[in-house]
Amino acid sequence: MNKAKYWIGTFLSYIRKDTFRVMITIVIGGFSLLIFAITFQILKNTTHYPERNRSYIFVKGKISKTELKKMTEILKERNIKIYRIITPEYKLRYLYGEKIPEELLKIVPLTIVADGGIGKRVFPAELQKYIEKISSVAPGESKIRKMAGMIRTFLIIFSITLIGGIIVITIFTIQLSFISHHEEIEILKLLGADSIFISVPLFLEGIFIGTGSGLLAVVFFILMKAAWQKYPANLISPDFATMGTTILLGIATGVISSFLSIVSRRHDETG
Amino acid sequence: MIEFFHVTKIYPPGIYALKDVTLKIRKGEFVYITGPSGAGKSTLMSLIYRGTRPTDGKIFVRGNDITGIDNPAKLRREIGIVFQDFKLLKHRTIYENVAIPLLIAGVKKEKIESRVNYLLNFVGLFSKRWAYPDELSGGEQQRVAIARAIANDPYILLADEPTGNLDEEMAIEIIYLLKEINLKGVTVVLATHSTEILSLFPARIIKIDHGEIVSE
Ligand SMILES: Nc1ncnc2c1ncn2[C@@H]1O[C@H](COP(=O)(O)OP(=O)(O)O)[C@@H](O)[C@H]1O
Ligand SMILES: [Mg+2]
Repeated sequence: MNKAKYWIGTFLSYIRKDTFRVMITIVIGGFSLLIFAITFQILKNTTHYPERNRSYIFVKGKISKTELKKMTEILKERNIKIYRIITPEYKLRYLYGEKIPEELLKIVPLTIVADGGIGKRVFPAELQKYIEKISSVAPGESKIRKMAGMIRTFLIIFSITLIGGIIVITIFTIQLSFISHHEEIEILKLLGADSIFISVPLFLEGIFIGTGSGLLAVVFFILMKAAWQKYPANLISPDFATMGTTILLGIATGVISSFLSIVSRRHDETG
Repeated sequence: MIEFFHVTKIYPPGIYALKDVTLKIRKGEFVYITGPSGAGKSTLMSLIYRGTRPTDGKIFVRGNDITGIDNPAKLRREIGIVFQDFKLLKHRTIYENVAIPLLIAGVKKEKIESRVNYLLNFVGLFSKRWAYPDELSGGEQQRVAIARAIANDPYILLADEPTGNLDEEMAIEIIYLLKEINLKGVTVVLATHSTEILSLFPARIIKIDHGEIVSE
């Protein structure tokens, strides 16, 4: 037996004893982090795309595969990616959180959405030189920015409140754990254990809850997305950055909560 | 080894558990603390390992003033404590129960194993090392508690009514064990209200009643 083994064993016996309480906390944390993840994804999309140099390339009539390929190459040379090609059949109204102008969908048989990155532009004249079928190139909407700004502020405040809530709940459950294992902890104290020795299993419990919540939130998110497949919900389609951030945030809330409950415990040690 | 200077302990709302107690226990002594139930024996023991603070007076353990210390962890690693109710960890094996104070003291893995095996042989429970406390008799559990208490070679062994829950035969065994430990140089303080034990194993007796030393 060594310390690490003892701590892990104790942590496992603690969560086995209080499975129900730990699971409830993970589920509550999971739902909260799911809301965070959705928020984060929306924030990310509305922050990222409108500020990019989105351009709509309007194409007259049908475009052949070779022409499309040629155009892609031309764009590529200029470090411009084609994000999506919209045909009337697609009937897409939103794209990466941006509303596609109505008139555009009506008149143009084919629209190419090009993303020029920050500070770059797709120049119509230049493209038209190579491909006759391009009628014009228009920059993306800027109106969206203002609206998104308001929503963004609200979402940021909401997320912070939510994370605060998860921390409070986790602190609460770790405090309950201290109470639940009071007898054992008292014995360890009599044997001369310092607060680190006593607290490590509870610290692990906090990390376990946090990680569990983060993973659960990601699973919920993926399931939710799968259930809403038909809906053009690019806005809330989880990407790796969002999933990673959610899990990391879960771990972080676990660490913070454990730390805070252990520190607050130290003060009311019996004297 | 242990010195009390005019120690008073008042529990709220004003119960005098100890009144102006002054005493000295020397290195290697075997001392009985005796007196009727409620006399203040447990309080006296608890003051030594800083389970509670004195209301007034000063306490020295191995020459150090422990009256004002905030963290008793280090002090407790140098003192072995045995209780009437054994205080073993229920969900841990006998082996683990004895190993835990060594882990707490930061003893290396390889040394822990040989030390625990030695201790379990000493108290005659090596064969039961993988059992859980519930599977042992009261006397056996108390022997585990003693093995645990002496794991880190303490200077002092405190035993608060160690035989309170045991029948006479088992009780005698436990006192024998404590005597043996005392012969190895450990200062042993034994609190008991049983007069039989006192007559069976004579040693220095500090008698208290209503929180005061009535005879030495
Ligand atoms: N934690 C406590 N709070 C209040 N009163 C206590 C506490 N512990 C002990 N007492 C009181 O102090 C007195 C001495 O108790 P104790 O030291 O346990 O005596 P003994 O061990 O000799 O039976 C008793 O009157 C008891 O009721
Ligand atoms: Mg008592």
